[in-house]
Amino acid sequence: MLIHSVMPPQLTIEGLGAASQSLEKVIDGTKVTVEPAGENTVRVIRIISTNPQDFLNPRLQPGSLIPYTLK
Amino acid sequence: MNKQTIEWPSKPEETPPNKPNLDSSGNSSSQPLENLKELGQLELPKPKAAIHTLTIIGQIEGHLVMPPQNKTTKYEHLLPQLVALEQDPDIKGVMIIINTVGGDVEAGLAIAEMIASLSKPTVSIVLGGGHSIGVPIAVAADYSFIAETATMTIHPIRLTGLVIGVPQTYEYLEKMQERVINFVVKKSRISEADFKELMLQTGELAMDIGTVVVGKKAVEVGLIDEIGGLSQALGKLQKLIEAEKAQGSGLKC
Repeated sequence: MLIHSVMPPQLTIEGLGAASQSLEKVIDGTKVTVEPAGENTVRVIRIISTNPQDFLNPRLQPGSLIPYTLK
Repeated sequence: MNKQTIEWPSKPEETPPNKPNLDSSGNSSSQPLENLKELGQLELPKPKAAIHTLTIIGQIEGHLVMPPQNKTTKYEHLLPQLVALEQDPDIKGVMIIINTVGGDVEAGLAIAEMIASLSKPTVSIVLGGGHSIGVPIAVAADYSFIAETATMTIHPIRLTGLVIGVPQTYEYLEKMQERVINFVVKKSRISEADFKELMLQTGELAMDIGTVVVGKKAVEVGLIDEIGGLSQALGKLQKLIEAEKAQGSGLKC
């Protein structure tokens, strides 16, 4: 993997390898990968879908918080 | 002979999008009221915009997930979005807003190629910085703008941290570099010689060779089309959209 950037690598690579606990859930009829982010809230990491329109859904942008109770 | 039972993976839980469906935890997945209560987020019905914006920010993430202190542009989200923009008949044009430090070469080129091959008018605007692999992305649009204070760093691709000693590695880097140079030269008015000169300039950057091109200089060397900001970029995009429409309606003169 080639990184072509002006950022010094020490800054960007520091902390690499810490895996986040991600889960696959179906929200708004779309499969998303989420990670827990506090009480009854999850943060969207990625959308898994073959429908391009799903990626325009403002609620499911990566990083958005969605109220959801994980069992 | 072993009898192998093939187990088909079970169908992913199918939830029809329009029914307020409740899963076993009692979560309803279409709940604007819940959002308002819990997070203070209000969702208003949005009319579909004719112009969509794409933001290229921070680091362009490639095959490895960057540690959390990085702000990243995720290509796995951007590329399907571009497909949606290309397909949707209501969307007439795309504005690409760039403020990036560069990042993964392949992900950057993937985004640049997708933008370049969009059939709808695209205008890019470089604000703040459009460094390294941000350069191909900026020039990929039909028309590019740069703010007067924005900068673009033109420097060679490096294998970060490794010393180039083996000939095979050097050739690989040459190939990688060529593909970026060819793309930029094809999509802008700069000549290959001028671009290489900027790239190999000594004395400007502290830890590398290359040039920092500020606003006006980027236009002078032919990398970016025009100096401008938001209103200019939007105005140009509108003009390009109208020109498309006029062409498409097949006016017979």
